[in-house]
Amino acid sequence: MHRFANPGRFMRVADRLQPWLLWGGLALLVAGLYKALLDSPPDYQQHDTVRILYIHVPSAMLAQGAYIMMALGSASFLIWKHPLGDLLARSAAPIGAALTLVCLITGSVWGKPTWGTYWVWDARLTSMLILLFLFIGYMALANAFDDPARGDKPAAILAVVGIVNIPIIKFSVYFFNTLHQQSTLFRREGPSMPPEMLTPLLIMFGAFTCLFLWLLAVRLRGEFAKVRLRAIRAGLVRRAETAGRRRAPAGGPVEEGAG
Amino acid sequence: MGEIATNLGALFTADFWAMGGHAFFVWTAYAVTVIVLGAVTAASIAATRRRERELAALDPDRAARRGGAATRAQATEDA
Amino acid sequence: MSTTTTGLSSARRRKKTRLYLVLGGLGCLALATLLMLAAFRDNIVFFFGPSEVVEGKVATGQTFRLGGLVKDGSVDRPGAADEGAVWFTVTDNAQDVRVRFAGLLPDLFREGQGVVALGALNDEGVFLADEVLARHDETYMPPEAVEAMKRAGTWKHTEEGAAEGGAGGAGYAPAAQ
Repeated sequence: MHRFANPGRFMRVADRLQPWLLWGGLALLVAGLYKALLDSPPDYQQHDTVRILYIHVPSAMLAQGAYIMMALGSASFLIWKHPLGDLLARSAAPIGAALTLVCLITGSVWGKPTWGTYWVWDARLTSMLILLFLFIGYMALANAFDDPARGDKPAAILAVVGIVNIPIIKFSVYFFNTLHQQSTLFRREGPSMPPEMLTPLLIMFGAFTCLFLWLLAVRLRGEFAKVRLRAIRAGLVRRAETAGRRRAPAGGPVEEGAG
Repeated sequence: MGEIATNLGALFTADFWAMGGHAFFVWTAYAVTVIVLGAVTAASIAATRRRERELAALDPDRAARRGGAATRAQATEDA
Repeated sequence: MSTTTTGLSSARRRKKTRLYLVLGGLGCLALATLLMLAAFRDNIVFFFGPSEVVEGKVATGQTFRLGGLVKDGSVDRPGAADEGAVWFTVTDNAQDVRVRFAGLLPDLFREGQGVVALGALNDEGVFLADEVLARHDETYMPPEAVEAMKRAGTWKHTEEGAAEGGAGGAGYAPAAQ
């Protein structure tokens, strides 16, 4: 497992996968949108608003997936000091926040025509809103300091602690009386949905997953570049300082300082 | 194939865009998805490109030796 | 040489300690959350069912949420005679509460459907609703399939089934029963 914590090896694999994820994801997206909007039946109760499901459910699932990834990365950073874990968490956070926002907004405009309200403070909706705040809180902490080494640990602790919210989201609809209905896909009797609706949902889920991983790789590359930039700049500053001291007539033990 | 053509033909009907009277809700949901996810994608790509450009400017030798595309792989290896 | 091995093993020990700290912390956190949620579940009633209302658990004039099924054949629209208000009965198959609502009903509102209404009881025991929300179950189905199943006699709408069977829809049963 620790083999994959080697950043160089990890990035080489990610770089090789990237084009496949991008083009595969886009192809699935086109197929999924076609199925969702043009080739799937309306619902007997909700009619055409059911088409919101095909973006609402994948974004909800991937938002939680992004959170789990962020928490695992943060845990590995806290326990084994894997820098990759920190970078992975930093990369996943903004994507997860965006997906949570999409889930909340699509759910809201779906709730108005079906339930009769844009928002209620029921356990499912509230726990999903908390997920958004956890992502935002993580990003704020991780980027609060000029020296990232100061923010990384508090942010990682927040990410790990916040993982309790994930089972709460999942089980809120069974544990409490919520306005939100229970799960359609994960039932003992199998999905409560005909294949002509399940197929577009699964295709859209595949598309969202591929594009999520692709974007994650893009962000990871950016995070790696940031780390490298910081290292080089720190080196340049150090060199300039040593050079300055060397030129000064009353130089101390200069040679030792030039590491 | 014929079925797909028929389905795509629906794109040119007002009926399809009306979404059974729920056009506002359905299209708002899809538009928000495109805008939010598009924004985070664009911002991510821009940030990654900017940092890699800065990196190449600071380290021209390596950039020249490895070629533009390989710079990032190298950068990550050394990270 | 010996110093490096002790250094290594102490680093490993620190890692192990951190692992146990994280796992232990998570365990405590999970326990605390579970207890808190259990407390919430027992103490916070999200909505009252008709039985509790009939038992007098809610004072007249007090705002609360009433949850249950719209009783079959109970929807009445007097129209202009009553400011366009809708009257219907909310049931949990044991007790009924009559509801009056003047406003826009959600699309899903129909007999046999689960609803959650916000409002208060008046002196005659009528629930005057300010807001009516529809609840829907987790089943999705194209209309043609529903028609076909109804023709074949195999159609069993969860909520209708619950209303007829007297079992009470799982999702609509009040928290404390």
